[in-house]
Amino acid sequence: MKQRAKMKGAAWKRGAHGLAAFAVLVCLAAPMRAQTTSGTFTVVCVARNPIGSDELKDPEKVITHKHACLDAPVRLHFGDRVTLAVEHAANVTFDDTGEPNPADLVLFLDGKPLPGTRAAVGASATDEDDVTTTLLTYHITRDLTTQEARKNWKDLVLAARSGRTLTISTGLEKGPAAQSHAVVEFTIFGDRAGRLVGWFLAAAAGAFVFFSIAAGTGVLRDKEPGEGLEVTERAYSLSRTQAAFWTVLVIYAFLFIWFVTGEYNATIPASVVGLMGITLATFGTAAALDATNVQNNKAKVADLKEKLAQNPPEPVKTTLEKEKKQIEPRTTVCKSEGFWRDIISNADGAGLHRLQFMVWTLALAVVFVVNVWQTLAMPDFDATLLGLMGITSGTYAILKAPEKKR
Amino acid sequence: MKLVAISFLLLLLGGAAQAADKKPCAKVLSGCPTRGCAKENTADALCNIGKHNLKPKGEVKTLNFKDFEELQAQVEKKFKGKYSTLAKPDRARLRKLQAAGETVGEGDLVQIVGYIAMRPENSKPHANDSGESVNCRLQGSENNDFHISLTPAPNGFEYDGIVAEMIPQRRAATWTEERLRKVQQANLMVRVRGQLFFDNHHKVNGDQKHNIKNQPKRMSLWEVHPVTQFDVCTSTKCEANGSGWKALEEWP
Repeated sequence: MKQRAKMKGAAWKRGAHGLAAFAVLVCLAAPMRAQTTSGTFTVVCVARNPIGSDELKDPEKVITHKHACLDAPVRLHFGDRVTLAVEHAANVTFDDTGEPNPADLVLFLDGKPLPGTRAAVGASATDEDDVTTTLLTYHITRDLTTQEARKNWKDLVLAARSGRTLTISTGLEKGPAAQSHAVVEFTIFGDRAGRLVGWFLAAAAGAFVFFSIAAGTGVLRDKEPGEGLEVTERAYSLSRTQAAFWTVLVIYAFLFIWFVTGEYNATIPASVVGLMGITLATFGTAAALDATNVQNNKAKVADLKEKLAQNPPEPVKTTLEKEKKQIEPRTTVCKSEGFWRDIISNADGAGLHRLQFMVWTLALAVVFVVNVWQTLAMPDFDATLLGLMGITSGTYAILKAPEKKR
Repeated sequence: MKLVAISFLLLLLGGAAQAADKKPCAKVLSGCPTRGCAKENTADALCNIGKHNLKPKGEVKTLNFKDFEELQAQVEKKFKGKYSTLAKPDRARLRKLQAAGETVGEGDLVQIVGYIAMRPENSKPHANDSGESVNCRLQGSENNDFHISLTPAPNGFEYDGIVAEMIPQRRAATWTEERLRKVQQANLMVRVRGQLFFDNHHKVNGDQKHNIKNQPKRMSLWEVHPVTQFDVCTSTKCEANGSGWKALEEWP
């Protein structure tokens, strides 16, 4: 009986899974059917390039009828040039909006337009059906200035990582891709795999140098006068650490993108610059607050010393001495009690504002690193996210002002 | 239980998406662009625009059913059976084919002599009033093409024939489904003139034993579309370019 119930349950579950799969298929079917193809051009194949000038004396023989086509799927990667044999016909009796200029056509990979890729129009020839084949050459590059372009690029990189062949086509940037019979293998690293190794080596060396400097100098530690304390004994500073952390991340990302794509212009989005600005402003504010506090405390100590020098009566003298003893440690830098303890706590123990500041920084850093790896581009954080980072930093700075140093 | 609820929700969403896809894209036929519901500058738009061409090219060429079969074979060979999406250059390759001893192609003015199909039993000229993209998915026979199956012999089977379409734009008021059915019932020879058009959105459905569901029965995807002239033979026998024909609007 139990067995039967169990089987019934399993069957029900299988049915439910089937229903779910069917529902997903139904949902997918609608947008899939809505896909359209450009009516103006047909991409015949990936063509040889360059074609010898001798051959071009008789372009009809070389270009039409797939004579210029490459047989095997071509392997492409970022920065390569690819030539497409594109068919078009000017003399059809019915026309919609007229033919676009071939030079306005951008490259499409896996059905996604790549803004910034403009065709160099090459040789063309017309066959007996009055169909003209033109060779369009593209430099595989990218323009990440719009959200849509970034999304397309990200999708392309993910598709390339899946290892499948991708349809290569052409079309107007805002329009559909032309029907294409050409496929390519798009690799992310291509012959730059050696460069990637180079980057890893450079990154490792950089990390070694960075940690050596951080350990041997006070670059990540408080800067206030530390009488009697070695530089390496001083407490770590949260804002300095954060500023250094983001600087290193951005430099690593910049170099990674440059090593892999060869691209060094316009790879740092404005929002990352903004993020660096927030980080450095927080560091500046924190340093200024520390300096002001030290200054004020020093003045207070001097004042107390002056009062004590006048040899006040007993109860007053004890009170002044007690007060001096309390303030004196705050005129100098604290001794380190370990990295994590230093950055998340003050004299009153761990601070929520410090913890929040640190965790939020780490969260954004994870997003940053994953994005750089996935898309070979620094993420463009939106205004809300930057605002949140600003609020977190601001809260840290405001709550840091009255906090006591350990 | 949760899984079933999610599935149901997905089904609803899928259904809604599909329903939205089937919605008319114009309020009235006069507001329907020649590309119908297809997106501008797409292969679908090109196909729809072609179906609206009331001014086919050249002198009228007479084709017979064998020619239509031969034209289909040439397309199959040229495109290796892959013609569901045809862009401009592909359609250009439909322009210089050989039939009836001359060069013919899509966009040419042609004529064919035959009979309106009588079989299968429910066969009759009818409006495609389920709502087609070409006519902005509007409902009603006044907004849709009249689908006419033509066969080479009287009492013919749709599977052996071809299709002619009378489009609703500038269609003579006297070209009615009722009148066409009368011609069919009378089993009269007809002469249909219009543009030679390759309707690549369909599949050849010419084998009764292997009927393809939801596909018009026909042995060739070449159509007379749109029909620009429809004549009925009023003599015992009529030649394609001879006398004895009466325009449908004047018949009987």
